[in-house]
Amino acid sequence: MTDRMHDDRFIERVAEVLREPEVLDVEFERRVMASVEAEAMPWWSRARSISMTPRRMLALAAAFAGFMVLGTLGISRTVTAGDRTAAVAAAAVPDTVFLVRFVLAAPTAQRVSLVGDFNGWSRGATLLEPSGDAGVWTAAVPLRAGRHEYAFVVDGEHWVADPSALRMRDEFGTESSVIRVGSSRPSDI
Amino acid sequence: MPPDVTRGTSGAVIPDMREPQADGVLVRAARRGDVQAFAALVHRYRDRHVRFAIRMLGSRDDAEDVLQSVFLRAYRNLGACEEPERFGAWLHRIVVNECRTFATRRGARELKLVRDEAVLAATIEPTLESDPALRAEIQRALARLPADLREAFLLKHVEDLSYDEMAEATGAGVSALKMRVKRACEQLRQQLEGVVHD
Repeated sequence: MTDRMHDDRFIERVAEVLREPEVLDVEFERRVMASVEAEAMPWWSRARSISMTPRRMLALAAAFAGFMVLGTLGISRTVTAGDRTAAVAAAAVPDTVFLVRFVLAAPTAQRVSLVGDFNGWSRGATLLEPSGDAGVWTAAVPLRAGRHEYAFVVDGEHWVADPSALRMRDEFGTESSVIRVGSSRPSDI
Repeated sequence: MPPDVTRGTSGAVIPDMREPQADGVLVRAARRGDVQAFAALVHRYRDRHVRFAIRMLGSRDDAEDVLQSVFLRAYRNLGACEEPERFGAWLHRIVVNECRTFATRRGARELKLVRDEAVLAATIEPTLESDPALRAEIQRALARLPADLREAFLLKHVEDLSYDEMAEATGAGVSALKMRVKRACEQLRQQLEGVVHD
């Protein structure tokens, strides 16, 4: 046997193992199509990031339950960004929107906004509001299950990763934070 | 080829027993707002591309995240798919790019050689026929390759693309791709000498 034939058979043996099929479960398609259907919906029925106080958000959630028949969205529970335990504990339910409360302590800030892949990284889309504690800013945002990247922008110019959450650095060296919503697998965070 | 799917009123994915439609027909229907047509495309391509993403990223969870992002990006940009009949090739380019972006972002923070046998065994499904220890060794060797060599090897020898198709998917030249495949094969042989018997 020539070396070339030997090499070819070796590579074929390796490739044969790597070609073995991988099968995704039905839930994967459900998640994908839930995202696609949300894109396909008219704008007035899409899930949107909104900013308001936690109390108003709870009131909205209660009102929202009355309109469940109009859509597939369900408000499951509130989790706090950075609180891995809470995020992991939330059961993954297809087509469920989780209320995620983002919190930043910024005592000298005049304005804090939340930017992320869920609001197009728009600095004006989601403003945090001062909470009862001095210097603490919060926003509760409905997010679909999955992995989300985000950061805070303080006073319109200072980009701040969430100090209480997992951080990542993009190819340009900018730090942002990562939260996985609705996962039951700790390794996912 | 797996059956196409449609979404029932309850949200369940059910097999579509009609004759499978060509990609071009489905793409044009999806552009007109037919979400079920896009569901059929997702069903048609998901398993093939998740295999590539799992082999590239070494993690099933990461691969699922990437693939979810791929399909959403594809849906948003269906208007940019200039040759609907070649949707598969267009989608492949998005998959390759999303895997690259994800791996870059994951970067040094999570760059890891997977050493845990249990993790490796879970990376390639246990329902498969090959020996689990052999699969783990091969996946480990693959993970040690530089990303560009791993990508080229997978596209050539696992996804069975021609060099022209690889060039289209990666944006690299054919001669550069041939060199990457050659070097990948050499490095795999070095790492797997005595493990894989031909």
